[in-house]
Amino acid sequence: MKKTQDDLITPTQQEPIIIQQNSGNDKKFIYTLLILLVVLFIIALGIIIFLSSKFFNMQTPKENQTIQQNVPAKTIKQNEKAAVEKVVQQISKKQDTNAKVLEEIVEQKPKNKQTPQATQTQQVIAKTAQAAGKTLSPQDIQKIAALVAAQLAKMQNQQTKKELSSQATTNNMNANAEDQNLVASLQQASVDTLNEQTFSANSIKSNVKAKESHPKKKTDTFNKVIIDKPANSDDEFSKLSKEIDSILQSTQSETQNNNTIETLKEEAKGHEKEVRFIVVKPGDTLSSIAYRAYGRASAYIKIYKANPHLIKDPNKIYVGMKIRVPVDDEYKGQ
Amino acid sequence: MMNIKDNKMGRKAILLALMSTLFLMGKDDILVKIKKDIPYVIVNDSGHKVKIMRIQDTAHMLTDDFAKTSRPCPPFCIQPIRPINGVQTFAELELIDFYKNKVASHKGILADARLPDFYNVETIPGAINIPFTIIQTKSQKIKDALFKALGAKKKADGSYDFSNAKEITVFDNGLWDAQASTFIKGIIKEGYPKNKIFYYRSGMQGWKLLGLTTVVHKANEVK
Repeated sequence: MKKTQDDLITPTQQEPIIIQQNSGNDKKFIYTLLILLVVLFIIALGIIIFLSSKFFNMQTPKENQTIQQNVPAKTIKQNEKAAVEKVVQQISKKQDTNAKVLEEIVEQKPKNKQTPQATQTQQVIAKTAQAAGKTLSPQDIQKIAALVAAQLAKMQNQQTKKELSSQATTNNMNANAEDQNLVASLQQASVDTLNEQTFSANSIKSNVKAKESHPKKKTDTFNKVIIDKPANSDDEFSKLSKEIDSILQSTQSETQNNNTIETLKEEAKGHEKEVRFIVVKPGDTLSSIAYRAYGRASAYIKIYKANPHLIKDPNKIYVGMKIRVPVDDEYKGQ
Repeated sequence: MMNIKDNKMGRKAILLALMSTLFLMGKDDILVKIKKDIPYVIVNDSGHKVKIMRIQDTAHMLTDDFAKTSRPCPPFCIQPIRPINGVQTFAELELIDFYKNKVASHKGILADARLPDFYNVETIPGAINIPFTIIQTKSQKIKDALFKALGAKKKADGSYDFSNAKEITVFDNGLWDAQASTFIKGIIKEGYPKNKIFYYRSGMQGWKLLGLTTVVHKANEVK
């Protein structure tokens, strides 16, 4: 019983000491509380105004809308208030209100010209500051104004972007599924680029022997089927082919060697030169192929020009591979 | 009992799954298809089955003379989309449909109207060579033989009955070549029905540009 009486006494003796220790921090605590309340109040106001404006100004999606540089006046005010809120928030986060703190926040150069919008902003800032119970020097107000202007610009951009993207989505929703699929697949497809295929002549080893047949089915860029004209075939195609051939035989005596036919024959000859090919034999090297095709082992570079797919790996030639070796009049090959 | 059944069912299921995946994998092996649902086409050429497929190397470029852009005009001038009004112009997909519907059932033929010099060197699979010079002949006998081969019948009065004549798709080197349109105009002059003639305007140029398989009847090979 005595102990409890003692216990009752001691806490009361300790209380005043606790209060004295917290006196300094208390003021700061109240300050921040006030500022937060003011900010919350402004935010609430802003939201109410924003919602009401949206309710009254319903924007209809337009087909070809260009980027709007003139945002309506109402939205400027909203943006302004929001911008100011943001700035005040940033300031209130810091417990100190020294000029140093403001300089930390405001890194941009303040605008020298005083636009009517700027003066309005400054007034708003001054009022907010007063409501918070602080006094800001005109320099500080200017710096804050610059920050607010920057925030405004940001928010305007965001707003136009949002407007455009929302319109895009509403337009897209009207497009049919097929078009949407096409757009999706095009977005996923990689850019169609021409890879500059260069190689240094020194990197080509012209005396590497051909490898035995393809390890796995490689993409055949030759893509030509060689069919010798059949001597005896019974199918419809061959019958008709032979029939017409025999007709052609009888017209040969008639062929007028006019200019057109001559030019055509020259064109055909040119094509024949271009399609000349060689089959890689076991033991072949690029030099030996070049020698067979062009009569000169040093002509292996010509082979690369005619077969760009070899540039990927100049030394990967396989037995049985068909390589284009176009006739070049410079090299009188076979 | 149940265990054995389950095993069998399980095995079947696994087999099915394996086979289907292999099948699907095999199908997806072809990166560059002709059409979304047509990876390749098989046609008959000279008694052989030829698989028409596109070159699968996505970096492949034309390097032969079909990569040239500017041949002298005349004579190699740009061809209009239609050689004559009433003759339908084809592109590759229509040609493939023509293969399936007409050529396979021998109701139609694919005609290469170029000189044999071109045809032997490289041509489209399934094409028969009917050089345009054949229709420029003055000999009636030759024309009769040609139209007979194409399924026409000569009537008593000397004109032709084309009711059973084959449908004919004509091509040449392509956009800059006049051989096909010369042939088409020639046979129309003789009375061949316009609705049985089709002009594959892209010709060899377009065919090669898409990396499609060609047939070589006289190989120019270095021995």
